[in-house]
Amino acid sequence: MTSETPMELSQTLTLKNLAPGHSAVIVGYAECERPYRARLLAMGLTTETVITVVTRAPFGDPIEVRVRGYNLSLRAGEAAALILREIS
Amino acid sequence: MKTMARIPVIALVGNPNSGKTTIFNGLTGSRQRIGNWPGVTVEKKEGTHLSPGWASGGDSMTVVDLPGVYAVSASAEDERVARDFILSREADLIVNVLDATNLERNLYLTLALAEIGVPMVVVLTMIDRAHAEGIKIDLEALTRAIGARVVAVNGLVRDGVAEVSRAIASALHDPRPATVAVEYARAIEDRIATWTPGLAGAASGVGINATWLATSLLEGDPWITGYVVETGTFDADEIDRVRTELAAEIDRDIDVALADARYATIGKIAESVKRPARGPSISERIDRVVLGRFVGLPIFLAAMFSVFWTTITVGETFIELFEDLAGAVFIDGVSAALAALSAPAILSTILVDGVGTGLQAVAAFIPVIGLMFVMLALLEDSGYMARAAFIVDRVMRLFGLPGKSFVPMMIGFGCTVPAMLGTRTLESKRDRFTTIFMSPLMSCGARLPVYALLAAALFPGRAGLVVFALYLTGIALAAATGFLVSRTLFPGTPSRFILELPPYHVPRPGAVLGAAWRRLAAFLGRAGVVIAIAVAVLGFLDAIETGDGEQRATVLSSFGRSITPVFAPFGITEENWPASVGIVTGVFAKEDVVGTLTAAYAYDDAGGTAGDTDTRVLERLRENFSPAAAFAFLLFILTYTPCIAAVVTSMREMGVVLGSVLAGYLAVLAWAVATVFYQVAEGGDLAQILAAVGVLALVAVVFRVFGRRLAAGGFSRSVSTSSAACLSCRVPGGCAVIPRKPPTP
Ligand SMILES: Nc1nc2c(ncn2[C@@H]2O[C@H](COP(=O)(O)OP(=O)(O)OP(=O)(O)O)[C@@H](O)[C@H]2O)c(=O)[nH]1
Ligand SMILES: [Mg+2]
Repeated sequence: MTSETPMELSQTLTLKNLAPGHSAVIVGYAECERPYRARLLAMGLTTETVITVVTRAPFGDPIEVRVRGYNLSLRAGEAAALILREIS
Repeated sequence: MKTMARIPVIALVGNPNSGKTTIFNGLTGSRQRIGNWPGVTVEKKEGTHLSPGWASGGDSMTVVDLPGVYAVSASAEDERVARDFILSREADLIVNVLDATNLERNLYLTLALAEIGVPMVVVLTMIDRAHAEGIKIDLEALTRAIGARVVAVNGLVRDGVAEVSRAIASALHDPRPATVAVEYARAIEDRIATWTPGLAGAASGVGINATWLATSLLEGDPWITGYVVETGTFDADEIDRVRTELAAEIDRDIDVALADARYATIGKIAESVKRPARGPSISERIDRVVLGRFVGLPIFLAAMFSVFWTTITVGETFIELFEDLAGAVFIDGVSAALAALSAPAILSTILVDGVGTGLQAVAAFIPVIGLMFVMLALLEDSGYMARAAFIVDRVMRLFGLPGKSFVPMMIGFGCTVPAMLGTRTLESKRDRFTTIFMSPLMSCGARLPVYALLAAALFPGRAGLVVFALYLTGIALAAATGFLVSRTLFPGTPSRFILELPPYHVPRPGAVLGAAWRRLAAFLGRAGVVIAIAVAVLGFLDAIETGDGEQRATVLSSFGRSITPVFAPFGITEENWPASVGIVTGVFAKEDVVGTLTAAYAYDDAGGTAGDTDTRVLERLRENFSPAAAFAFLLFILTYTPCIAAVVTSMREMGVVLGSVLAGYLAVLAWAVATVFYQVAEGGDLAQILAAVGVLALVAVVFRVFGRRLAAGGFSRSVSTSSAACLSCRVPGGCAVIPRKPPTP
């Protein structure tokens, strides 16, 4: 069970609207194509993990992020499966 | 101590790009491909390692290198190879290779291996980089936490490999699984415990731990679920029901809960690792510039352009030198030797005019091909390869492909065979096969000599431009092929994009030159053999005279003349039959085209005009080709059926039928493209143009129909969207992607 910590109220934030240099915490998964989610989970994108946007590709998509000390790229649309909560 | 009747087998298992192949090469003395991007190794490779005490009665062992995986489950072909090998329990010991700079994510696989219960040792590689980053690892604490032997090494140096070897040798005396265990939530542990006894039978069948099987069932792994259902232990509905219940009880997705628990355990293990707080890494700072909005694309194009530009212009300046060297050996040397032996004239015609000229023609292009290999190796070692895939993803999607396909296609500029194998990292069959269809159009190194020879003869001063135009045409045709095939033969949507971007590093000159040299040597070895064989066979065919007219006619020339009409629409005249013969021998290997062309001209000339062989060849080329015909011929060579090795590989990867379709498609495409170009540029025959366009339209229709039949046969159900894949969606809330099955009564 995830215990809801009394942090600021979460609005639905996804990777798409996170600007480069900004970080967020993964709150959970929205949509569920299993192999995609399984891969992300195996790569450490679990609940409460911090994810930071490094940069976007020249066409705006995909997005390079840092998570658990390494770098990963995801498409903005597909990464909407990750529900985030912004941290300052 | 266990005595072993057979040679022990150890397998290297770890995340992609963690340094497994580097260790493998060190242990076995092999020279397998290494590169700084995830997914270099796509096949299982074996080698033999002699442990240090071998001479005095120590062990020798078989070492298996595997593709990298993030978890013991598979959504792509390369991952399936690794998973199947791990679960086969063929290995007496698993060497779990972890990247020390990235321990957390790498430990996820370690936990899975511990759960499965395979005997293992842990090797941390890249310890040099970890130290440079200021990461401190307490090995003793880590050893205790994992419950397996742990060593930390730099896999690039001899000492590092020796340490791995010692660790393996001592672990082999008493191979044991790691003892680390994940603590799941109470409700989950309970379910695992109730399922485990029932699964004992199914688990012992494959020699894996029943607890792991139960956990994977709860996790919803489609392959494990399928396996368990097949053994008849549980039926699918029962598994489903338990999972739904459990998900409701813990009020979240089971797979998320399991992964969270595993990473919580990893968090505890990682307490023995101190990572200094840091800002953006150097690689990230580079990425912010190099992948930036405005400069990202220009830098990408400049990088690609410089690969070809360097190859062509710098390589070109050395051509003459190599031509003279090769001439001295293969022509002057051989003819002197033959004269000394007073060999018969026919032997001298075949060996000197034929084989000698043919080998010289290809040897002249060694610098160009070698430089191409060097440029590609630079790209592979730097870390930019994955970035290139990242940049082009958006564009590739227009052609129905994920950006990841770009990596095997880039490899295709060296050689098509590894490019086709490289597609195994792609998640879906449709992406994989579409990429295989496109890869032969990435003009390979063996085609360079053909371009360079004809360009030098017919476009002096503009040779570089012509070659560059051919490369661009190849890319355009590949894009068109991708567009066509992904809409007709293999319809569907491109798979999702998750790509790790490894840290940049300055390419090591030794590694780059070594890799380029090995590929060049392999190419030359093959080229020497196929050219010598082809040209010698042609020489004999040419020695048998057939005609009795005033013109000299032989079996070879009559054969050449008889097939020439097929190629006439793009400007091959009957007198130019050696070009037709070159097209035929080019099916065996592309460098054969040059060998054959030069040798056939030489044979045709035999006894005729005297003079330097290489200038004679250039003259014959100028007599026989108009510039437009030459370019059309080059377009044909670029596009048509790839070499035998590539065709066989495509059949191995896609099946004989689709492999043949590919070979046939490229032949038709080549003919149509060359014909349209030649007729527009010079011939002006509208009927021919229409015929070529019509043939292409026909191909599209045939592909469409064939694609429907493939789809009906269940083709497009790829690994990642198979129906079993969405068991985890049976949670409150349901799945947004695949509609739910009606609830079971
Ligand atoms: N500095 C440093 N670099 C290393 C070490 N081991 C490997 N590398 C580099 O890391 C990169 C990946 O090495 P590989 O051996 O190809 O990795 P792999 O695990 O076989 O990768 P895949 O086949 O893609 O799964 C290469 O660029 C190597 O040169 C090491 O111990 N130290
Ligand atoms: Mg490898």
